[in-house]
Amino acid sequence: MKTVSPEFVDQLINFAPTEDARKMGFADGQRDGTVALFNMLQRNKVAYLADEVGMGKTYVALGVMSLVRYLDPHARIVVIAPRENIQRKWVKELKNFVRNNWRIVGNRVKSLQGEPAWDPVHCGTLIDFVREAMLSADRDFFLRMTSFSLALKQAESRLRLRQRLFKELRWVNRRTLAAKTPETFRDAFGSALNAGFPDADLLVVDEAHNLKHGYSARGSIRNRTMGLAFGHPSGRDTAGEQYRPRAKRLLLLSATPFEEDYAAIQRQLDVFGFGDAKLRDPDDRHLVSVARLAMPDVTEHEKRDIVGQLMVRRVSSLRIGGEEHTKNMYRREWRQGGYERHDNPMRLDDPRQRLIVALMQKKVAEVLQDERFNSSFQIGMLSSFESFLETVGSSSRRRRKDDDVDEQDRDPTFDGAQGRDADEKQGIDTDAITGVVTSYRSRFGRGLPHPKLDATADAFAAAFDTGEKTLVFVRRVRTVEELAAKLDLRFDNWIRTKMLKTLPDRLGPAVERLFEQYEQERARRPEEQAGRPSAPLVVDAIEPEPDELAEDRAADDLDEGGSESFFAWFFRGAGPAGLLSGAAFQKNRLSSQGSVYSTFFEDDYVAWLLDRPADVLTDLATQVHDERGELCASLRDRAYYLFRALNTRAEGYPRILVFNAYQRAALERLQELGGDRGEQARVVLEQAFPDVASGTRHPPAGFPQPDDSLGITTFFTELVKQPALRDQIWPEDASPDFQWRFRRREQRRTLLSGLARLGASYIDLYLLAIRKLPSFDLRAQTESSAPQTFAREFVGLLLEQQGHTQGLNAFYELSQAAATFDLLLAVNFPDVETAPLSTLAAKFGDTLQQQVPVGRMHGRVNKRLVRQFRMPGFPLVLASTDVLQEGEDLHTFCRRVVHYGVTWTPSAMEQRTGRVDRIGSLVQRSLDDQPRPADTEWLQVHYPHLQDTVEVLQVRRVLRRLNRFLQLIHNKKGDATESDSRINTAREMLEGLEDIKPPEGRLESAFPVLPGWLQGSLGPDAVRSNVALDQDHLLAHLEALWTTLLDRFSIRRLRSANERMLRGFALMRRNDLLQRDSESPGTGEKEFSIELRSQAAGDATLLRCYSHVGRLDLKKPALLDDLYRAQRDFGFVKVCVRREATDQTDNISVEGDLPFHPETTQVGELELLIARTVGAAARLQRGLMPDEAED
Amino acid sequence: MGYRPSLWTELTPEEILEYWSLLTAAQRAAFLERLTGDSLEGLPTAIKDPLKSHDTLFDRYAGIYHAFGCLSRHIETALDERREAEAETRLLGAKYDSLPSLLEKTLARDDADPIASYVTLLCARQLRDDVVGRYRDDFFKTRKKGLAALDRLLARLPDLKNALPLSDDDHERAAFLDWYESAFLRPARVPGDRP
Repeated sequence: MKTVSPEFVDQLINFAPTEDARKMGFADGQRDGTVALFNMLQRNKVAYLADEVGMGKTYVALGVMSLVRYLDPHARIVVIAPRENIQRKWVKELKNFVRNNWRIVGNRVKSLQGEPAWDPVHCGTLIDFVREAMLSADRDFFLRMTSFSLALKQAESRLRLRQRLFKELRWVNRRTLAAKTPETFRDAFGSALNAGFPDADLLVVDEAHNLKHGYSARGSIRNRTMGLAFGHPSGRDTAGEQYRPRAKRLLLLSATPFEEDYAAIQRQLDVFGFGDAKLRDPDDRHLVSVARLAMPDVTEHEKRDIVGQLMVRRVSSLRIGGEEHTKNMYRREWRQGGYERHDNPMRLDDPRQRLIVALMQKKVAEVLQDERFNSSFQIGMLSSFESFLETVGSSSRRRRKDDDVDEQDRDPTFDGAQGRDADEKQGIDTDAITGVVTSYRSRFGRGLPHPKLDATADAFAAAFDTGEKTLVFVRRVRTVEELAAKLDLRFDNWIRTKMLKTLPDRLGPAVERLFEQYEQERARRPEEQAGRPSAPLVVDAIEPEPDELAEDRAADDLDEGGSESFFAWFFRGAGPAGLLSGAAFQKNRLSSQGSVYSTFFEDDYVAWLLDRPADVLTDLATQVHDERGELCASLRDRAYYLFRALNTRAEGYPRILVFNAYQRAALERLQELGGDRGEQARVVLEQAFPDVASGTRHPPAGFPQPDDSLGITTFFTELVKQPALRDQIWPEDASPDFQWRFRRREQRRTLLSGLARLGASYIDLYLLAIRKLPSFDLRAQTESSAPQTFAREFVGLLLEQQGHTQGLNAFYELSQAAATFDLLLAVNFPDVETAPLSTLAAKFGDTLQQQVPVGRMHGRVNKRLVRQFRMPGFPLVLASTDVLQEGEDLHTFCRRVVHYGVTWTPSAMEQRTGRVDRIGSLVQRSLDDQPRPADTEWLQVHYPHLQDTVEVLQVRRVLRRLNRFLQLIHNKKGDATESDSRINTAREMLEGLEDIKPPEGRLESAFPVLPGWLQGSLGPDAVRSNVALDQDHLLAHLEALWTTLLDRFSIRRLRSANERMLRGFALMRRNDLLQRDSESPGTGEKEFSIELRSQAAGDATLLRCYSHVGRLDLKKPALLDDLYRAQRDFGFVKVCVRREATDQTDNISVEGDLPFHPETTQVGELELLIARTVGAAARLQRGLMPDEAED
Repeated sequence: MGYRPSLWTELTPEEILEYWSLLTAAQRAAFLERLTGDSLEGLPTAIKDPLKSHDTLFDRYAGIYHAFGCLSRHIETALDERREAEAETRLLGAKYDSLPSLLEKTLARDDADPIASYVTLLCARQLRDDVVGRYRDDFFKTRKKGLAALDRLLARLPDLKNALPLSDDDHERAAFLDWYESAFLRPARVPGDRP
């Protein structure tokens, strides 16, 4: 049995790969956690990682997974995530971890391409898992818990599942699956799945507390199916011979592993057959059984010792004012329910609002006093606490269809332990409240105000001034809509005030008319006429299948604006007709290829490389030793060739396309100059303008002159003239590596451009543009400032905002994004670091488009909205049901969580707060290692409620349970348990209302990493040095072969930025490489590259040869036929097609692979690979695009 | 009960409401214990701080309604089980824990929350109407004097209504309060009720 030491792991994993990560100081703890858990798994087969929310459990688990793979290259790992969004997050984080944290490139954990050596497979359903495992079991599989929640009530559902499974597992005994009742079918299906599941060397279960009710015949379908599919011992008697345990080792993850007793741990382990696991301590002296956790007569002390043998929990802290602060110390809880003064009750000053509260509480009291309810209600289930609108009752009618998912799992709004009574789900007070609300509307013609909701909206409306974000959790879908609608109205008011304040007085009446028009259109919305905010009546939270998600995304891409808020109506989509709205200015000016504003957010690369001289063309002419006039003529020839080659469909000479053509042409001239500047120009060309074939073509007279595209004024060329502002908005990253610096510069520029065009900054940009115009009439746009002037004005505005104003404005948004650029890339755009620069605008734009000041989340996770919430600017408030409770990180710019609708379980409450309390959070960034902050800078946790209502009883129960949970998981004395989710008002009304304070003092984990688990048999020397050298051997051998090849054949070597890649031009004689000493002339020259790669899911290394053919539009069917025939003829090599997102053309190339070994691969094999690949590419090019082949 | 009579006269409205809500004899004993402080060798001692109740919900809407619900059940059960004297004591009597006693103390309070006082009287009015509606013939026939006394207290309701600190717009105010009282007194629909 191999166990590892911290020193061993240090050789393999860097838990702090960046300066920021080092500063946060989590790395050693994550390393120790990884070591301890790995050693526990080696010794006991089970381990539980229970770090506090937000401490990077995923990364510790990825560390364990990678160690398993490193020490056993063929180990198979299966991960079960709770939901689809978290399942995708795991795959994303695996790639990030391998790329950034795993140190050793090889063919085990990190491939030569820097990717996971074993492909991660996202399984949408259990049948997918079975199929994928049979196709290739040598991959890592990512499942989700909801897949195990099968819909079995209807016979048709069972039949459909049966047929799907038989399609994949034809040998399964059909008779066993003919079970007639849902229960017998469930068991038979689970056992049959076991036959199709591969053995997992490590099974990782994320958010395992969801399984706290354990495995039993009367328990949930999900737990039972999961247990049987992984071979729970209870299935042995009835299942077939193939039935067996599928998980060799089990790692559970949850920050909230139990609510109020340790038996929940045993039940979770038992789902996978580890319910009576025997645990040895690190010294191998004591043996304890997990089964004792479920025994009532075992003392809490003994249970804690048992849990200590399998659990690791680390407690985070921030050092503030020289003192360590654990969560309970840096969280500022508002337990009395108010928003204004800390820990004071919610104040209602308006007597009418107080009367309404009194009235509604009266109706609630009458319902509770009905003998049917016996003065009792379920926590979180009274609808009047949240909203007066009709609640979830009719929602099921429009529920998204998801055949295989069980009803129970479609409704995570309510915790599984709570009642399933239909009236309770609807809210037992709903009918009573609806009666009052209807009567009020009919009498007064407007909706009845909801004091708590109004107080909440008022409390967070200030966010529009400050830019502070707030995350609000509610329990009911309708509340999301109602709260968001109220905040939208407040935002409308904010933007109206801002417009009136910013624009000249002469535009004031026009602004008022705009708002009148908007109000009229808003009033025509059906939901307004019905007195309800727009709300698809959907109960949370059905996870759509991936294809549905894709459809959703595609549908989302078309921004149609909307009238739910002035921002959506005026700044997004098409905008109001006939007006120079924000939307129209965007479309006609900034986004139009031909507009003089189209280059507003571009950078002039040539000017930059020449150190921004006053006259770029003259300076360039001097640099390249040419006359200015001749230079201009030659640049026009080059630019026109490039313009035509790359823009076959453009009509006229759109400004942005001509600008790009001239930039490329001038960069080519600089590249030819050689030297440092030439090398920089080459890098810019390679990075910003890939796949460029140079050439010249005589332009027609109308083709613009170069001085319109070189030495121009843009926002960025103006910004660099203001160093202090530039440092805050577009800082330069220091590095001797020019390519890296250029990429960073472009990544930052593209992000800033996106924010300025699509985010909150756009309001300032638009108002700046409009303030010189006489009206909002669309025709007035012809009087816009020249772009040069506008660029200067925008920079001037930013300077003014930098110096004089605080709160939400363009400077705030842009400077915050710049300051947290690395963090934003890590959480939102992990692939930007390596992505081609030409794809960045689309990548950022996909996230930044369709912004809303107030976000709504229910039904499913809207990934775009989540990413936007992680950035400065919109949305400032995000109202969500429990759909965002787990998995999504929302911490980067938010330090305020509002539990508007409380949930019954402490784990759910902690998970919610944990969304903003994580490594790298705003709170951590602003408080760690700082002096004592202002009260508003702590992490604010609100439990809003009205003290006059029975809601106070519900909040008090939840707070007591939260305290009890904290006491159990930390070294604090525990209170008595309160395991009933039902409030009996008759009993609890008689209890006092003494304050329930959060635990005080520093928390210490009850389950820290014990020193014994850090002792391992493998030390630093055990990291096999030859693995590290493998890559060096490979590269050395490749270089040797390449040198031989260059000696023998007419190959011109090109530079390559990638050390694993070699590039060159090969002179061909028909289909062979031309020998260097050949007297025959070549028939053509073709560019190619060769690159070392790891084989997918294998130990071997491949050498791939790539040769570009050209761009085609494959919508023409004949072309596809040609490609198919070519592939058939070529045999050895592959014809590849990659769709270009930027111009919707298809990039055609030829690729060939060769197994590569540093000791056996010969130059002849390399020659054959290149000859076949390049020869095929040349033939294809001649056949499909003879003009290009000629060039 | 071996407690000083003055103890009962000093009960605050919140304590009366709380007393109505007590579920068991043990709770009632504890309630008294709390009012009297520590007992001395089983004998009652002086009230330490009779007006200062421990912090409960009975000075808030939730507590008021709950207590009235308990009182309503208590009276109806007593009447249904022919314990009419007990019902009379609570509903019409003058003892420390009677409805009139609560109303008198509520009306007499200078520092009362006007809205809490208003809804307290509305609850009383609703309770009175319910009981009169159900037991008009056999119970109230012989207790007209007591009922009249209760009605005199309830007749102060318009005063409380007028004292509500709402806006001065008479029309709007009147319309709102008219609707309000009607909505307040109309029985709530409970799941399972016919619409």
